[in-house]
Amino acid sequence: MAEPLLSVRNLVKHFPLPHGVIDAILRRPPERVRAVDDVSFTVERGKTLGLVGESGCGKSTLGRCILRLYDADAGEVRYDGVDLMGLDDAGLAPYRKRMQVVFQDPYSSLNPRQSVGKMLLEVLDVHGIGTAGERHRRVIHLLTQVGLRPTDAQKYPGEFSGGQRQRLGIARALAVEPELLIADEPLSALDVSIQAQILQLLLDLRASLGLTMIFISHDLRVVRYLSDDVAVMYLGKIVEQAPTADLFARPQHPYTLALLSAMPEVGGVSREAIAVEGEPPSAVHVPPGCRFHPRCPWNVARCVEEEPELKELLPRHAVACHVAEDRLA
Amino acid sequence: MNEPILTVDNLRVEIPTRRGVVHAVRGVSFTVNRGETFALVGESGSGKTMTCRAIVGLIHPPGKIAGGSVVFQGQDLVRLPVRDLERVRGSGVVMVFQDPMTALNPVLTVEQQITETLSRGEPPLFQRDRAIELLRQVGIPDPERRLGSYAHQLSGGQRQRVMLAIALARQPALLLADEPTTALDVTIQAQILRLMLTLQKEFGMALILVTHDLGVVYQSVDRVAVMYAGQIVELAATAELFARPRHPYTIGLIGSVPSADRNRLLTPIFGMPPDMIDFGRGCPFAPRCAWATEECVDREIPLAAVGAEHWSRCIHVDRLDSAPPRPAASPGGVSGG
Repeated sequence: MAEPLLSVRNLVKHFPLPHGVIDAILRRPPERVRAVDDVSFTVERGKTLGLVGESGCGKSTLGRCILRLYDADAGEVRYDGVDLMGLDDAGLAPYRKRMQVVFQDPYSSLNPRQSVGKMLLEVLDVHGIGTAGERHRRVIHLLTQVGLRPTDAQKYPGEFSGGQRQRLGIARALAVEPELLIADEPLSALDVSIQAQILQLLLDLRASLGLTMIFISHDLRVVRYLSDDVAVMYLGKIVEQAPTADLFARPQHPYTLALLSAMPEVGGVSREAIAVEGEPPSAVHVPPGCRFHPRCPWNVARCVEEEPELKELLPRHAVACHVAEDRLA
Repeated sequence: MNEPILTVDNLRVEIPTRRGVVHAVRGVSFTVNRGETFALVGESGSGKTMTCRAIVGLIHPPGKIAGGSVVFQGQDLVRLPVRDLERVRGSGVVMVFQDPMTALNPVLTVEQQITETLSRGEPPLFQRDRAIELLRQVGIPDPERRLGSYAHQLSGGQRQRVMLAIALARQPALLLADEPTTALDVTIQAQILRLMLTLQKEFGMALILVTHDLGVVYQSVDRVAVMYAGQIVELAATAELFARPRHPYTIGLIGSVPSADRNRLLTPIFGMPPDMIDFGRGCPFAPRCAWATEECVDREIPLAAVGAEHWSRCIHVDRLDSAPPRPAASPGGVSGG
């Protein structure tokens, strides 16, 4: 098997909370948000990894650490064999061109005072792509590629609808011809019929450009539709990871089961509902043992005492759960 | 038990703006039966929220109900004086909103907001007990302590639970829920939806659920009205609607949701919803519709019966089972969304 395009190992990113004078006097220990807490996975060239979880589970932070928009505290991000964590800005520049991101809110990630054409030209300019004439042609090509009109280059972001803005976000990401596209909830802000348009566009582009993708979403239905592999995150950790078909056919972790039963499907049989009580705890006060145990219907004594490791319990299917492990043993 | 509790007839809502009058709701008619779960489905701007707001009389000026009637338990709410409307709103019809943070009063405690809705004249101690009981019913842990909390001290899911407690305080016969779970996380969404359906049975309420989530509709409601551009375009029992959709927009919506079957291609609807100010006479969906003919644009299309308890606003119902004659618009070329 060829070396994976991206390999993340034991990645950790904590955000310190403000620690004031009074906290120091009272000798309160400094607190940290444990956004990403020891996460490992690989993505092979041309494949799509779906990263699923609820808000606050660390999936977006993880995406940003890979792009080095955040500097991780520990761990390793290897891209095409090179450890990105060790690179300085200059060394990172070529990799910034090879990896691009599409954000959830296309409006806040576009400059309202810059016309679309200028925005795209600037991207090409910064990365030193093509001559002036080629750049203009490339802008037109990009716009048509994402289903916009060449004349849209003169317009400003405010003149576009939400779906069109997401098309702009995608055009900007594609401008530098990346290999890896990280899509961070690209559909969440959109209406159902528009979601399907953008999803279809991403699928078409993936096929025609041979993109490798990390698709971050809270929606298992969408993730199932376009991912080769799925990783389910909870409070900064991956709790289950498997090839898509396998994960949906034989989900093992109670949290995955809960997510599945929380997402009613059209035409689907209603699954045996796994009712999860309570709400996710904050990533500052992470529960001891298994992070999911306070909400878990299967919770046994061992779950409180010992944190389960992510282990390959079935072929290529990793689960971090004591109960699932005992059952499959 | 098909006794109508709410009959909406030819409801119209208009909102004057600088650009012209926005026709938010354009002749909407439906009935909801006692104890029934009814869904209004549609995308943003389809008029589903405005329909609900009109039912409870919460259209903000300069917007206004421009015509039609909303008959609830024999009374036309549209023509009711404001004072009587307040009485009906308290005990008959209540609405919970998408964003509980803005719907709750930030400077009142949970207890104050619940007891405010309880009937006046009851002794304060009794009111406190009722508030605790209500909080327990909506699944708030440790309700005695939560009485003194303010909205900002609660999580999103808890806020929506408190909203439900307030809504249930006067034991309404009809609950309108406008995208009640949209702002919440997935597992919390499921909790709140389950809770609402349980409470609905317990209290014997009818429920109008406004949503864009077809999965939720499929799994939990009795009948569905699909809205597009201020009109109901299709109305049917849930199973019937999903098995035999009889309007191109409904077909498009169902085709837009990624399904378990990865081999089934997505069939997105191309283009965008129409401008709500400037309508032609014909079908507002025609520009995005693969089955549209000249006839669709020429005349107004009525909501017509197409089966038992099944209505559609499409004149090409008989042709919908065959593949569309042409793709609605090319996905690559002319832009949509």
